[in-house]
Parts: sequence; structure tokens; C-alpha cells
Amino acid sequence: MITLDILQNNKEIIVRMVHAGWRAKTRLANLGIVPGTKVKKLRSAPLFGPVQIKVKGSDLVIGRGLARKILGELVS
Amino acid sequence: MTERKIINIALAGNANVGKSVIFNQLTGMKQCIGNWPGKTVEKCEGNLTFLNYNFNIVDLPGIYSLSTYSIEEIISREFLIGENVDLIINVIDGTNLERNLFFTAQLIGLKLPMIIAVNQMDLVRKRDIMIDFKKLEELFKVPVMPVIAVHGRGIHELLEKAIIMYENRLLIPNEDIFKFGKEVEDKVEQLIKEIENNQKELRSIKYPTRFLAVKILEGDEDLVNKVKKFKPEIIHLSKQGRSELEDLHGEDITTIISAEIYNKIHDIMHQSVIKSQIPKKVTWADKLDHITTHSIFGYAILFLILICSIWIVFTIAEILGGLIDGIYDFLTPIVYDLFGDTIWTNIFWDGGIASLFGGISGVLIIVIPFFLIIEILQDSGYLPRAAFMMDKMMHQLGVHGKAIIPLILGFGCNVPACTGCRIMETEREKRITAFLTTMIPCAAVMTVVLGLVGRYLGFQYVAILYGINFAVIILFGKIASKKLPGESTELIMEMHEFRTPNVKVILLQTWVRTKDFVYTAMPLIIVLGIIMEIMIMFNLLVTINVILWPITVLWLGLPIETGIFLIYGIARKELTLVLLETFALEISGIPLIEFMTQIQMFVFSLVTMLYIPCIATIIVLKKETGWKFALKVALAEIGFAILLGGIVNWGYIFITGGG
Repeated sequence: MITLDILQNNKEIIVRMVHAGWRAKTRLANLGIVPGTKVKKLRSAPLFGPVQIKVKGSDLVIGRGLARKILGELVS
Repeated sequence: MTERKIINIALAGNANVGKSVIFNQLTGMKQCIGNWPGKTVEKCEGNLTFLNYNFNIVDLPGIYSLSTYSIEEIISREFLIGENVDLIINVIDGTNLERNLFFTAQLIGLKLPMIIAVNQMDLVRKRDIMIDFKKLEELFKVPVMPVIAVHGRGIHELLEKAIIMYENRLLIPNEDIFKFGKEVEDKVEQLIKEIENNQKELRSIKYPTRFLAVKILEGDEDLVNKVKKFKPEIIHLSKQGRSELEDLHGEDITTIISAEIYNKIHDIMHQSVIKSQIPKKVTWADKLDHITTHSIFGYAILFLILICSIWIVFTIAEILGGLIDGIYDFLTPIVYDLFGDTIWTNIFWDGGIASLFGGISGVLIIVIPFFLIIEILQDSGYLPRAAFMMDKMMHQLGVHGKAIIPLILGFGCNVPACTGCRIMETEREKRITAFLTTMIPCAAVMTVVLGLVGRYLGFQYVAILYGINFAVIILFGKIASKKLPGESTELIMEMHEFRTPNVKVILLQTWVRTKDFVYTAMPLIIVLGIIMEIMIMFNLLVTINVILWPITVLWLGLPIETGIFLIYGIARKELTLVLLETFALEISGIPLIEFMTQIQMFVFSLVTMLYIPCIATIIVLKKETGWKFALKVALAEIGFAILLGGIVNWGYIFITGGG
């Protein structure tokens, strides 16, 4: 299991767990980030900034704190 | 003449799918007059006549769901189940169907006649995505129509379809397509049965039965409370069902239900959309994307854009501002010749009309170019990149990256910046950001600082002033984020590809924003000008100077006359400098450098910089956050500016021993 913030660029995970609070979790779920979804990390902003991911065919940016709360299994 | 039939349409969809563009294409002009009742969310309404029908169109806020995540979501769903919607036009982004259909799934639950407008068809074709419209219509049982909003294509067809649907009243979307898997569906059906058995008691809740059942199963606070009032047993049942499902799946209910909906969407996509398998070529948009998010060039570009925007705004303001002031100066003697030097000419011309001209040359021509620039940045897709790059730094101020957008705007003019705070998701974030933007030194402040401190004290002191200003912003940001209740929200936003900005869209949006600003701020600027003129007439200004004496002279160590200049600065900050120069030269007959000492100039500029956002900003701030908050901000900033100014003054006296 690996969290999104430390995942390498251009690697993909299958989400297994989202540890966030109710609000953030709802929002992420509405955007398709639920267990079982494939998420690809595209890049992260300089100086440990937010991460950009590809999910359900579109690009999303999420804060690093939130990215740390998204766990998944690496897809090889 | 037969009476025209009225069709009420609601435009609904995610943010950034071109909803507003369709709205503008339909109604000709966005009319966001006032807010939703009791809320600080803007309500956009417009109408048009087409083939003997009158269309009333409401543009709902861009949202991702119909839950209670944000105030916009609650407003939207309450409006939709109200009596004033005949038809929903659900605008979706054709290049991003999967995400957009999640919201469509929610709308379908409302069981209202609906048309799905698939926008960005030009990009869909460019990317070789094949969408089977027939299949989608078959699945959803609603018309699904291609649209290219920026080129106005498919817009009329939407209206024609709306008329056909209105006359036939047949098409209620197919909600069966979003039936859940057995476990969840069982619970939902159980609740549906209970709700139906208690129809009488629950008749005041207008939501369709299934929608209501799903929402209370999800634990939707608003609807749970509504049902609880009449039938607490149902809520008990829903709680039971929820915990069973959560135990079974080891997940919370929102996740379970969202996952189910996305699974359905996946099936729908599988049946109706074919994506090109050819690897995408690297386009100019990709290159631009790469460079604007680069760890060095990205910041350089951000900085450059900021500097260039300010420079452009400045240049335009200088040229046009001089021209407009020239017109006023040219007209003044003519008006006085015609009407004589009476009280009424004084009030009307020196008060009202002078403020009107002042408002145009001092505010409007700064605001318009800034609106234009921000629309270009917005439409091209640059702004989310800025937010991406600045998120980390914005957290130091207690807000997330999106706040950078209004803050950048603030350097030109705090007025559009305040309006721009709407992009923040929660009321808390919006307030903090709005508060911070009012402290950003705008173009007018820059004229004062450069004209006074820059000119007579040197640039190092300008840098010190700006340094103090930024330190104050960081300090207040930290305080505000601690003081305001609620948790801070993390950045979650969509990042779209760069695209060539559309001239028509930009001009239209700029015009809409400008109009909005003129209606809000101009009348007040004029009224205040008149009040000021009346005060001059009755010699109240001298009185004000005397009243302010303890602050200006004793505490800040400034000449007594500055009291009234600071009052004037509330109307327009650059006025403080203009008046100061005129006063020193004409009345005292000495150049400014002899009128004020260097420390006085520094303190005067510092106070001007911090003491209050101008009246136009206060008005807009009030519009966005309410009177109470706007007043608090104004008072806090006045108090703090005076405090700091005095500390600098007395600190200087103390250090230099009274020199």
C-alpha cells in the first residue's frame, strides 16, 4: 500500500482506502475517488505542493495533505 | 394576438463545462442581479423569446453533486424541486463524460423533464472520441444533443427540443438505469415503501420518493431533519440500513453509493463511447502546460504575468484617466458659465458629476482592463495552474491555492478581487480570502506610495512599505484562519487543458462583470461625492480635521490638514496624494517636500496603504459577505493602520530622540 503523495509520477494505483474527513471524503467520492478506482499520478507541485492526478479520464489537483490520506495498491 | 407560453428552464452542470457560455448565447447577456434569497450566492436569470414562446432561464451554480457539500448544492436542488422549473438542461463536457455523468445521475433522480447538452463537441471530435448519441438517449430516455457553445452551435436546437418536450410532456428520464446493486437497492426499496406508506405525513417534502430514500440512506443532514420531524421511524430505519451496509462493505455510505453510481456510468460509457486508442500527439497546449508548472519557469511566468498585468493596467489608466479628467476640466467652466455658481451647481457638478468622472477615471478604467486580463487567463485555463503552483504558499495564509486568483486580481483593484473570492468553496474560505484581498496594495495605493515615498524617500523605502504590507497580510491571514470557525479545506479542483481563449466569450464576460460593478458601486460613489461636497459647503471639513487631530497630529505626527485627505482616501485612495499635492502647493504655497517631513510621508503612506479598502471595495465586500463582516474588516483595518502608523512615528521619535 502506498499513499498518493509519495507515489512516483506516472505510476498508477488502485485506491483501497480514503482516510479523509467527511467533507473531503464526500467530495472525493463525488469526483470518483472511491476504493477500486484507478488513479494515476501525473506530477506534484514544487516544494511539496499539491499533486495532480488523472482519474476517470480527467485531471484533478488535490492538496498534499489530502493526497497523504489516499491509499492504494501499486499497479505494475 | 395569442398569449405567449412561458417555459421555465434551469441550466445545471459541473463547473467549467461552458454553462455560462450557453446561458449567454441564449439570453444575450448574463444577468446576475442579486443573490439567492438569504444567501451570498449569485443568482443568474435571463429570458428570451423564441418561436412565440417566452423562455425564463436560470443558470444554476456549477456543482458536482446534489448533496449538502456546499451551499450551492442545496440552493440548486431546492430550486429544482420548486414549482418554477419546467425543464432542466444538463450541460456536460463531452471530453469528460464520466465525471459529468455523475451529476447527471443525480439530476435524473429528480424526475424532471431534461435535455442533456453535450458541450465541447469540437474538442470531442479533435480527440477522436466517438459518442453514440442514439444509445445515450435510449439509455437515459431523454434527448441528448451535441453543442459547441463557444461557436453558438446547437443552441437553437436546444430551444426547439425544449418546445417539443414542453408540448408533449412525455419525457421523464429513466431512473432505473441508476438502480444500485442488490444490497443497496434492497435498503433503498425498503425506505421507498415506508415513505410511500406515509405519503400524507411527508407531503410537504417535495423531493421524489426514490431521491429522498437514497438521500436519507446517505444520511443527508438536511433531508434527514425534514423527515425526522414527521416520521422519526423512517430515519431510524435508514440508520439501521446504513450501518448494515457500512459493516458489509467496510466503507462509509457515501463511498458505497458513489462507487455504485460510477460503476453504472462505467457501463454506460462502455456502451456508448469509444475513445481513440491512438496515443495523443504532444500539442502546444501540452508544452504550455509543462512550462507553466515547471519548478522554476512556472514561478517566473506567474511573476511575469503579475507584473505585466499591473503595467498594462497602469498604462491604460494613465492615458485614459488623463483624457477623462481633461474632459471634466474642459466642461467645468462651460457648466459654470451656463448655470452660474450656485449651491445647486456645486452639489450637482462638483459633487455628483465630479464623482462620476472620478469613478470612471479612477476606478472603472482600472477595473475593466483587469477584468479583461483575468478573463483571458481564466478562459485559456491558466488560473488553475497558478493555484497549483501557489497552494503550498497560500496555506501559510490559512487558505488553499485557489485563493491566489483573487489575490493576484487585488494588485490591480480590490473590487474585482473581492468578487473573485466566489471561487472559494466554503463561506469560511471565501471570507478569509476576501479579507486578505482587501489588504493587497492595489494600483491606486501604488500610485500613492510611488508618488510620495518613491519620489521623495527612495525605492528602498517603497520596498520596506510593501514588505510591511505583506507581513501584515500574512499575520492577518493567520489570525483570521484561527478565529473564523470551521476547518480549513484542502485544495480539490479540476485541471483543464489549455485552450485558445475565445474573444467573444471574454468580451461578453468582461462586459457582464463591468456592468455588474457599475450598478453596484457607481451610485454609491456619486452619492458619497455629493455628501462630501455638502460637507465642504458647510465647512464641516475643518471640523473633521479638528476632530481627527488627536489621531493625525498627536498619535501619527502628521500635519493637521491630512485628516480630511485620509477621509477622502476612503472614496479613492489615490486622492490622498492628489489632494495633498494640490493643497501644499495652492494653499500653503510650498512644495510637498517642505510641507511634510520624510517620516511624515512614510507614516502617511503606510496608513493610506493599510487603513481601509476604498468605499467601492467595502460595497462589494458587503455584497459578498454581508454588512457585518464588511464593517468588521473596515474597522479592523482602520484600527490596525492607525496603531501601526503611530508605532512607527513614536518609534522614530524615540530612536532619534525627538528629531
